[in-house]
Amino acid sequence: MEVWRFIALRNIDPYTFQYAREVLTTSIDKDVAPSTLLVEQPSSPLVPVGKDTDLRSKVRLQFCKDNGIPIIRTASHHASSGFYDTNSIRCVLVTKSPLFPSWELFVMLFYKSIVASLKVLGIQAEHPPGSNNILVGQKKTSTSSGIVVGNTMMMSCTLSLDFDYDLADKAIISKKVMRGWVTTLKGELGRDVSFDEVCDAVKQGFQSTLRIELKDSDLNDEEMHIMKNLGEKHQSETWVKYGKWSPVKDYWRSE
Amino acid sequence: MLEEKLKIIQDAPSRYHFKTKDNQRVVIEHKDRGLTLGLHKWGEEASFEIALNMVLSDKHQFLENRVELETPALKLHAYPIDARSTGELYGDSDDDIQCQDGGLRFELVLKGKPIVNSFTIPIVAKNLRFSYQPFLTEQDIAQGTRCPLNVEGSYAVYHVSKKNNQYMTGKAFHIYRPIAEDALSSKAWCSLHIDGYIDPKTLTITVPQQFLDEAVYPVTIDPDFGYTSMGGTWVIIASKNKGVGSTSRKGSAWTMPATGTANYIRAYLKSDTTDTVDCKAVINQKDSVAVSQHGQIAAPVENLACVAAIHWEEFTLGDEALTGGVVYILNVLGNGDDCSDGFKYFLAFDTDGAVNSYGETHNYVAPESPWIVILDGTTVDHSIYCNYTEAPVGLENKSANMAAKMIAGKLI
Repeated sequence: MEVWRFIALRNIDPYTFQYAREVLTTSIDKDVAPSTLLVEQPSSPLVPVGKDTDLRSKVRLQFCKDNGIPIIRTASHHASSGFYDTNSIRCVLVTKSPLFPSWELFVMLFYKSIVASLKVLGIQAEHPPGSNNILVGQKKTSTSSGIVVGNTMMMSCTLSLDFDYDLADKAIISKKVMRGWVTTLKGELGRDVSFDEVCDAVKQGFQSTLRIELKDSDLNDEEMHIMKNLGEKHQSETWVKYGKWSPVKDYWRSE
Repeated sequence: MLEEKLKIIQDAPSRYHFKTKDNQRVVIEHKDRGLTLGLHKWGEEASFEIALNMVLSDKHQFLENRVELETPALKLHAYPIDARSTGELYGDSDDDIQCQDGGLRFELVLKGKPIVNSFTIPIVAKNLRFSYQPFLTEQDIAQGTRCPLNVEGSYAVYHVSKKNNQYMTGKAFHIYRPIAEDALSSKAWCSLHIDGYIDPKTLTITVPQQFLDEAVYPVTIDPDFGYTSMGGTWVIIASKNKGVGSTSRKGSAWTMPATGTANYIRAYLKSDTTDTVDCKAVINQKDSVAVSQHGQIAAPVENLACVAAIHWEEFTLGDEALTGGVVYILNVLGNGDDCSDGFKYFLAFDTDGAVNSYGETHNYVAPESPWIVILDGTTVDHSIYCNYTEAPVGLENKSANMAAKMIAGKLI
């Protein structure tokens, strides 16, 4: 049975929350870290956008600025926007293990593991084939994304302990009003659910579905170094505004 | 035996050359104690000579495919470069391939902090024009224009007057914005300035003083001169936003040098995702109907599912007649409905065209004919060119000319 790393990052700053996936994908692809399941939670709200997102049409920029909600652009090629608050929990699976000879199998087993984790919590969920949502009835409890870098595969999905629908509707421009179509763990179970409870359920769900053993661990030094470099990029004005960045300092660009 | 490309060959004790991937000659010569670099294009028709006079030494070295000069304070290397990506070169978050046909780099190594932060180099150019590529404005970015960071503040170098057929877009090289790097791999953009559009006399590289003050030496400055036919910046010709597709029609005017027939148009295109997009190419005649009303000469030729990867897209024309001395507008447009939501399809260009350029939002299904559009405020060289066949001179003309020549020669 393969032994993987399990990392729980509770109440982390929004930037670390958003690009921890990129850190893990980089470190595992470079063989400086083993296969990992990460569960993370941000300490404050954030608006994640894709590399190709036009901020003006997807984000209420002034509202985010006035309320200190950082807009964090990822390297993923998509053009949408999202919203996470302090009740958002993200599960990230990163591996280049031969257990998964294909991307399709990896994705199927990832979703199966999430459904199994929700079952541990007492929620009957399903993953419609071809969708990137996990549904409870007609409502979405989780949305997901994934990427392949070299031989390394990463899938992530977000579960909400609870959700500030009003704040989300104010922060981003969305086709649908969130309240009608996004559900939460609290909403489904009728009680508060803790970060630790979710971690335990996720560990059980993934261990049983993937037939792996998860050992508690932390990010290593190399990953902390990658994190620092990514921080410079993700917090730079040109990256957030335009999705472009390089480590070369520019003394000539006008403000 | 064919000469290996991008490999320096010694022609004389102080003179070397290499060939680029498109078979153009680049000369490196140790002359007047300095290194002189000579870049040629279209044989000897166009050239650009740079006299690197900031490092002077009686001796030079030729080793491992580079030519070197050294003094106590400075070192200079000159060597061929191959196509490379901006991600590899300077860690650009976007990974664009540049110098597709290879090129030349010189590295100036400052062993210690210099007295000045600017190096002005004499240059001599023949049949070339030097177009500065400005930094993108907020408006450019809002309109979706994309440009690698080393193209902002760089120079696109074009033939002073010719394009199409063997000249393709008319572009000879691109001089990219140089980077200064210190011993700890800290990097800073330098500024580049060429003092004339046509027939410039100097090229100046300025390193930020703050960088030089704070650097750990040695510091290396390495401008690249890349051989390429494609523009360095990208403009949208198709996109989709919130489920609604949008099309832009873009074109550049050019004066047909001689009467002939059109064979094909090529345009340099790419997607920012994996979309394949239907595109059309058209030839219009500038102001042929009235001012700003450009009659259609070649009806739209449509290519379905133009690929996402960066490429030359070829549109086969139908031998349409083109008249010498007439100004035509080669233009392309893409179908926004083929784009995924939030994504775009692009056409390459360089700022500051030699002739007028045009662009506007358009109807893909039924492109306007005539095309009614006023010219752009800033002219651009879109990476679109035409291949045409010149009409042969008629036999009756030859006979008339021959008779006149014989009379003039007192042969009859």
